[in-house]
Amino acid sequence: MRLPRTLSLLAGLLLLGSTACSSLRSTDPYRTATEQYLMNEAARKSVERLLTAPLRDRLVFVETRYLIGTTNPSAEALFIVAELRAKLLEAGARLTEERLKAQVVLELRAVGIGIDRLETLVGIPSISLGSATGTTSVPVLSPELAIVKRSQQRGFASIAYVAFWRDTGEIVTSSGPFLGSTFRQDFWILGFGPRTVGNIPPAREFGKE
Amino acid sequence: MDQSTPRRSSRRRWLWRLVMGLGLLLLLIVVVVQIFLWTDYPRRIAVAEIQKRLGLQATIGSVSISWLGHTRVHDLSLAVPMSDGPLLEVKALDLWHTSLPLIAFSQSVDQVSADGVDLYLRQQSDGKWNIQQLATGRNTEPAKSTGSLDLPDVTARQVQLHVYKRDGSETDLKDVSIDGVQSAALEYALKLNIGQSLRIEGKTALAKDFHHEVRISLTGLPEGIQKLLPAAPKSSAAEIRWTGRAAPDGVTGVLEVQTSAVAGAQAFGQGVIYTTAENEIVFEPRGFSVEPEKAGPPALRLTDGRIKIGKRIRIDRLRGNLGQGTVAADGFFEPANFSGELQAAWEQVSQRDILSSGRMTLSTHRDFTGRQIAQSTIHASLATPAGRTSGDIDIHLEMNPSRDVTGTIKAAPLDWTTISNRRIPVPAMEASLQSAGSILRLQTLKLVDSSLGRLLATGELDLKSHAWWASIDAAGLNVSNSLRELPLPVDLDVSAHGSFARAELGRVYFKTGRTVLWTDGFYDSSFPKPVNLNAWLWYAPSPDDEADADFSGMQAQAAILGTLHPRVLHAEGLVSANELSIAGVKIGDVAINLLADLSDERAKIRSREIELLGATWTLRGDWHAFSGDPLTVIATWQHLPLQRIGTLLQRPGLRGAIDTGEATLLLPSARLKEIELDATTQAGPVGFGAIDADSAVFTARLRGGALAATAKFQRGKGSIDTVVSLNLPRVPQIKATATIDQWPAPTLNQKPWLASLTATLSGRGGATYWRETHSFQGNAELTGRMDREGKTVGDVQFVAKAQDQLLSVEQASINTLGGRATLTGELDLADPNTAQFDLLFHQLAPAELAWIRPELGGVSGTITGSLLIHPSPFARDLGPLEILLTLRPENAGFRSIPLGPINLAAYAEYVSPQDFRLVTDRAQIDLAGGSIKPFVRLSSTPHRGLAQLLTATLKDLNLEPIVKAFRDDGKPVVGIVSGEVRIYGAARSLGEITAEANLQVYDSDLVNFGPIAALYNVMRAGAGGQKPQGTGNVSLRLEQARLNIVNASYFNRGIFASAYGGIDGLDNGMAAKNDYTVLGSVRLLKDINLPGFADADKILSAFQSSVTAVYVDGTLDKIRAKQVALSELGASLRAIVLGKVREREN
Repeated sequence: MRLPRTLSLLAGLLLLGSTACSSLRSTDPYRTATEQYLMNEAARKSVERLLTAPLRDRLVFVETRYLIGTTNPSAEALFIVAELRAKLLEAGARLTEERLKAQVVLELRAVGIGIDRLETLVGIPSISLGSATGTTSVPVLSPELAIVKRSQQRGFASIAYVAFWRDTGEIVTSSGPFLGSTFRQDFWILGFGPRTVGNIPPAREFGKE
Repeated sequence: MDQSTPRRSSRRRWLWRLVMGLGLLLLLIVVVVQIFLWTDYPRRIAVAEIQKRLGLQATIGSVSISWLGHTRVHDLSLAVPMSDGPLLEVKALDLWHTSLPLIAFSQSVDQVSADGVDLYLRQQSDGKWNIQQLATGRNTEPAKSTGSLDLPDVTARQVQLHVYKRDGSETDLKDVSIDGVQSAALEYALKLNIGQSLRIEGKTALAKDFHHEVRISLTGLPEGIQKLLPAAPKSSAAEIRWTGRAAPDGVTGVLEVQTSAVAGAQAFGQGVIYTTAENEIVFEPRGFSVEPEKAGPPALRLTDGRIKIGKRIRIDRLRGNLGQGTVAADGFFEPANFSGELQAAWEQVSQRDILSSGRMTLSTHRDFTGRQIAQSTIHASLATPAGRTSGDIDIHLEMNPSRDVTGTIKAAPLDWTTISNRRIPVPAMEASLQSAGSILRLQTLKLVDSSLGRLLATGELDLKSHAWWASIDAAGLNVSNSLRELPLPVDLDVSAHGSFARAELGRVYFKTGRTVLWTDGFYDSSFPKPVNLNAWLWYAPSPDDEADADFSGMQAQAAILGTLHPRVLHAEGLVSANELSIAGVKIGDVAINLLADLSDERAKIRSREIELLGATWTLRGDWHAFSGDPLTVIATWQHLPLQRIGTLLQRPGLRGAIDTGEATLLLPSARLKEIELDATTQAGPVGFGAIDADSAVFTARLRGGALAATAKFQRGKGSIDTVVSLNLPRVPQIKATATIDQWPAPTLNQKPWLASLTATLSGRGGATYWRETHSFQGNAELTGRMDREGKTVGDVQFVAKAQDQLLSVEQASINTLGGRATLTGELDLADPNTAQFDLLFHQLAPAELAWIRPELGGVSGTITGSLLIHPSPFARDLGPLEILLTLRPENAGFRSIPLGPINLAAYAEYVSPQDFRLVTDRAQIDLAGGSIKPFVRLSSTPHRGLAQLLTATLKDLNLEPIVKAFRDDGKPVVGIVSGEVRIYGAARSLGEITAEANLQVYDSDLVNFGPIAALYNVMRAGAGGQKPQGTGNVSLRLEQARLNIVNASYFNRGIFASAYGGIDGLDNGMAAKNDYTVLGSVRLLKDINLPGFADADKILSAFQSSVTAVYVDGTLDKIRAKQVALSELGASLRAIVLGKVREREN
């Protein structure tokens, strides 16, 4: 008699876990909003600390080749350039798109920009069961059975620049690198969650109306 | 004894017999003679004798000879052999001569009387007259000079002269009588009368040399002569005297024309006529003159030389005067072959107002075909009032035996020099002539160079009827090298016809550019005023030509009436312009009625009253041709509103009106240096901009191309005298001087706070401006004083000079505001970025300006400092011009805000008032115990306008005095503020400005700050005095006149306060509406523990128990606050708030 009660309890927990621990990644574009916020907000904080006062009223050309090396630059790299340009303008610098007209050339570089994730799971993680039919490449996973689960994500960006006179090549000023970071943490307990905290949206969201 | 008786008887008988015999013989002779006289033999003898002596064919009807010496010839007829008719017919010819019995001893004719004489003159087909054959055919035996002649008395009555020309015309000259009588022993007198109008009287000595004298008196042409000479005027009259002698070596005499009037000309004078051994008749003039009665060619007076008439007519060194000039001629003409040459020259010949000099050659000959060919070359120079020219004309004429003429005229290119010394080359032209009968035809007159356009002139003249017509047609005439003042090309169409007495101008069409002139009318000498013309002028500007867009069209029309000789013309016309605008200002339709009188001596023009620019104008001009006085034009105007003038000159600030004015313009020529102008105008109260005058007088004077204009303004005791002088027309430089004496300075009434300020200026200045280099030189000295309510608030001294484009302020100072300010420096107008100015001010008290703005009354203390403007020392400075401002306040502040030193460095780059950039650097303002480091940039571009950027870094500003300065209600707001403020955007309106502020406050207590006070009141945080320990920060953003509270948090008195929302309508000032919520909690929002996995209502309920919300509305100056539940907040605000709760930094 005890065995059937134990089995029925275990079956109930499995059923519960199979529904509460579902993980679905669906985003458009490819990067999720959380990822973008983690990196761009970290980049913004890094750029915010850069010193721009020495470039007031100078005609500045922003050189991005050391940050954007490909013809398909990443969105976060473009955001860094745009954020710096905005900061320069608001500080009083004058921008030009022609290097030969500029008084000062500003070369932008990044130490790094990215996201670190740390996940903690108390329970049974999802296990790959191979192909379902043997003819297709669609993997078959076992459901994740988590009693407690925590996901921590940290975004980091470290930006620096150096500015020099275009005509002589002598340095005008430099600033950075300064570190900017973001944080997000999600909790699941017995499949219920997530409870989210952090310093980026959607941590500030209340939920459904 | 008795024997003697028979002898005596025998002798008697033989004597008787002898007597009887002689008697019988005599009787026999008488009988025989009588019988002879009764026969036809005397007639035959007479006929034979006449034919023998005269070579003429003679017929005599009958001859009766009386024994007492009277012979009567009936029906005498003489004829040239082989001719068509008689030469002379005499019905009855009576001769009284020696009686027949004595004729053997003496033959003399005492008297000849003819009655019924008809003389027939016939012209043969070759042009010779029958009487010429008589002269050549008769036996010319030389007359035996007897030393004296015994001529009979001659009487001829009922003499008629019959002239038959080869063209068939017949002319009879009737009522001719001839009387010849020996008036003295050796003197014979002859009278010839033709009618009552021609009388010839002469007498000659019947002795050696035959001195003789002839008088000819003509009082109108006899009818027959009129018919014979139809071209001769009926009114011809003459008194001619000939005195000479006829010696065997020839005839010599003096011809004296006392008076003569033929064809409108008078001839008089005398000359010597003699014959030579070569049978030439020589005429040597001795002051022989021909003068036209009316205005025509100048009088000809021959003074020297001779004319020889023989087989060849020679003109030898003929000299004389033509008008005031001289004329000379040499040449010859041979009638036999109609060939000849003539060379003539004339100098300074004046015809009306044309002065001419020149020379000509004429040669003519007859070729083997019988054509008469004439070739002439004329070189003449002309000087007219409109200019002068010189050129060559070649004329070639050919006349065939039927007297038809063909020929060409070629005019070489010539130069026309106007009175303004403008050289106008006139292109070469050529024309062909042709005559047929009496018709003279100008076939083509055209330009030699066809590339200049098409010009074709034709015409005809009937020399018999004097009828003529002419037409000129020109199209696309491009004479740009010669008539540069005309817009080209030129179209011309002229059509005219008429006679010598009347010219009908059917059409004159002249078009050049967009100007069309049309004229018609006539000239009829039979009218009292022969000239009658109408003229129209149109001008239509091109809509594409901006320079001509000042009116939509202009018309002028005139009616001209008068005479040409003397020139008395009257014109009345109208000049009008439609939709006239000047400098873009519409004036409307303008019409000017003009009256003009023109004579040889004077030209006058005047206008009726003209309404233009709101004023009444009149124009009148006067010109005397011979007085030497120049053309005078006088213009007057009345009641001219200066506002209209200001609008025209794009000076809208002009006010007042000109009362009266007059300008006198003397135009001796078109040369500007000879034009004189004097103008004066008076004005009542006038003003320009901020300058007002009680009266003004303007003058202008032009002499020798130099224009001097003065303007004198009077206001109260003050005056301004200005003199501007410049040389026209190139205006290389402009000189101007101005003297100001106690002139009340502009009151600037548009600023109410300046209404109580009065200022007076005195001084003088002068400047010379060179247009080509845009440089000037001058100096100015100015002193002024400003008074307010009877108290002097400032006095100014200003000394400056200018050299080329460098303006130097040598000394400028103002004593005002209890202190003094001085300015020195210089400005290069060519490069304003090299300006150097030092403005120093010492102990100025801004509080004295409280009468301007009451707020300035809150400024305490004095300010000493400097403003230095110099070229930047380093190339990498922010601009080429460095501006250093240093202010050292002494006990200065604004109300409760202490003001410390201000040091500011700025840089500027100046291109124009619309294109500049000013940026600060290294600026610091010590204020309220802290400091502000501003960065300001003001820039402007022509296409964008003004824009600015302001960033300010605030450091440790004491909030209490700042708040107290503006709101001193005894409730201090304590704190220290630091942070950054950034403002940028267009400066046109607040709505276009974007601003950001990130401020931190510490050591503060904002318990008296409205929103915080309201929160504390709800949360009963108490208002008691505590040590200011509060800290907080606020982030604000201004967009489109809304101030958004991006983030605001403050902690004091154990309460964490935060705010969300904004303030709308900041462009309404203090009426801007508050719309924000202040939240208070005893701990930080993020430290509030909420149920982890509860539903929304439970979370909200838990949150509600920890947070107090106060909603603030009202306006900036009237804050209203009320406590609200979280549920009353908007969803988005709730989301933001709860987001804060979950915000973590890790």
